[in-house]
Amino acid sequence: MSRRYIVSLLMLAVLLVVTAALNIVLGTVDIPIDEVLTVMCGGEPQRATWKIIILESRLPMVATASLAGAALAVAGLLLQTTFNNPLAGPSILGVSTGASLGVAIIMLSIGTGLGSMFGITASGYASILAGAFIGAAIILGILLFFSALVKSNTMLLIIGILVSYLTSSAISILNFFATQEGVHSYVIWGLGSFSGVSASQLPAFAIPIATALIAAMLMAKPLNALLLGSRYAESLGVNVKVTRNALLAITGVLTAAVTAFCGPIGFLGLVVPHMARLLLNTTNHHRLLPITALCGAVVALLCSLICVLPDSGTLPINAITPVIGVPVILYVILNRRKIPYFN
Amino acid sequence: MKPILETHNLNIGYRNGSSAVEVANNINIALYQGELVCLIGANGTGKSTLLRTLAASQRPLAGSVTIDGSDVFSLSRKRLSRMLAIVNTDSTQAGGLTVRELVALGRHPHTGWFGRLTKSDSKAVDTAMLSVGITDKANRFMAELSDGERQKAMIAKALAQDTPIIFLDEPTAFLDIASKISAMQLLHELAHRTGKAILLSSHDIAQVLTFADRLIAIDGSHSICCGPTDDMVLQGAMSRLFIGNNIDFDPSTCNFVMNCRLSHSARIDAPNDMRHIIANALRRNDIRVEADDACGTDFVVSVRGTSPIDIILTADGNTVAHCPSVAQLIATINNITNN
Repeated sequence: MSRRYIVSLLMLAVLLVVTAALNIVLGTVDIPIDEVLTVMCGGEPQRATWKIIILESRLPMVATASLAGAALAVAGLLLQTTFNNPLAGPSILGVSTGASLGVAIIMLSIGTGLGSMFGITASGYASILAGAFIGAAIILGILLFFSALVKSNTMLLIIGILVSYLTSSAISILNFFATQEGVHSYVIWGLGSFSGVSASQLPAFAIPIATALIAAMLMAKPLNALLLGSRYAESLGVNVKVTRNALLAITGVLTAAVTAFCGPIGFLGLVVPHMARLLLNTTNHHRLLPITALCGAVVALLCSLICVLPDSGTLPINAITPVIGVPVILYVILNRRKIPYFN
Repeated sequence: MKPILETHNLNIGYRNGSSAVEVANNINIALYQGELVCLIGANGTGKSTLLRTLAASQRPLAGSVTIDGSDVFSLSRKRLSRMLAIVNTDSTQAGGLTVRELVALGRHPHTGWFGRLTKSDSKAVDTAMLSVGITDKANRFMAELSDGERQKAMIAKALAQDTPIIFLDEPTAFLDIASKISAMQLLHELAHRTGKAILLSSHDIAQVLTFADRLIAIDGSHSICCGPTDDMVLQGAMSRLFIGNNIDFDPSTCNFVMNCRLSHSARIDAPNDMRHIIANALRRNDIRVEADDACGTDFVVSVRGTSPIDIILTADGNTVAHCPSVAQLIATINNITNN
């Protein structure tokens, strides 16, 4: 294993711990650090609410943000390699838009009196999740169908973008006919949040994501072959159609899970793979996949941290991700002549 | 000797829904181990289509291709990848891989799920890089290499794949003349030393005729003929390649030359090393060069001395001029033909 890889792994692990710790210590409610340590060590703090806040709100949020960041980043990497397009991301293919449509249908036409995320009844929340999964699965099915007809990677990407536009228009129509409350709920959901997963719901969130992440790590070898294009990959023994379908399925699960639990979160899937490639200076997926996942977790925790900085409440995640993401993409675009993986 | 790859009444082309465009038909060729075979033909005659069909990348319209007796389309991708490696001019996303990592991709069919390289895999990678002469660039990124070096890395990858058959689609296309020759020489040596069957398509006739053991020629009417290189040349296969152009095949230089049909003609009587130079000069000035023993040509150019140069120009049987240089010869001829 190269030195650069080990150094990056260690550095990201340290950053992960630091950002996680900061997220636990800082928040909308001021909790003294020694009290935080008391709760983390299993003791009783001065105020009972602090224990609830830390164990029921902040810790699950840290777990959610890490998993969501890793999931979106890996999904973005898989898409960028599969479609030979450095600007591919989970939202561009329409999978997260499909999940959003599922959520929109539930929130706007069926459950018009749902209110905010935290005020949702268990059955209401479950139906939102179901809606997101079904929406993402339908888009995924459409993509798999077209993937069988269309041999060109670029054309498939364009089909994904077109399907995404179609789903967005369906969402707009639903919003037009909905009540004010319904639209408000949907807009709040659409801003993205890592705080929507309670401790008891965490396993339902974590298990599909962890499974899909492990499956993605196993695909490193065919992903490397795909870097050469489908003709060469075929000649090396890779079944390009099956591989592409497997990659789409893994991406779909990752994107649907995150979108259903956290709302549509943009930019992370697009930007983090570039950060990882610049950090490692390689496109070898054996090293790139783990680093991308770690990087995604760190960036998501960082965004989450920035979101709680203002005194007057929590900023939406989707307001912060472009602020971090756009400079990185601009840097990559402006320096692409000097970057090996772009040539 | 039994062939390692054979085609049986193969028809190649493209399917467009229910209709089909046929590119060539009734192809019956064979590849033998230990030979370098070159596929030649004009643009658009179907060389790439044939290579893709033989590599099971594209379905034939009819007929079959067999490797060691098994139909290539019935073999699994994995099994086929151990029999056949390809090199083509496709662009790749592999700029961020080092040369060693790229060549190591050739070991794909031999490594397990995680692609870990065993000692023998690493040795195959090192040997492949050494064969093509790219070992000193092993740790550089593919994006940093020149076109020629990148092509060498791709050839090394095909070598590392350790297959009995290798197909190359225009492998010398972007190389300078020295690299072209060294690549062809390497492929020829590999075929003979390791017993691989190597098939490549090329437009570089001079190198093809030098290094190929066997030729597959697709002529202008899309029919394919196959045979040992030199016999094919003697049988006139080369002149059938580009029919209907002002292009002739010159057997003495084994090269294609431009020869205008409607112009003055000349024959040359000169020592070997000067003959070709004078022929070039004449052709460049619209004079058709006939065979050395032709009669009734408008001009006869004889070289009486080489140091100093003394060229005698004869027209209609009469000596017209003694020229001390080729430029003077051309000037004299142009004077005559313009009057």
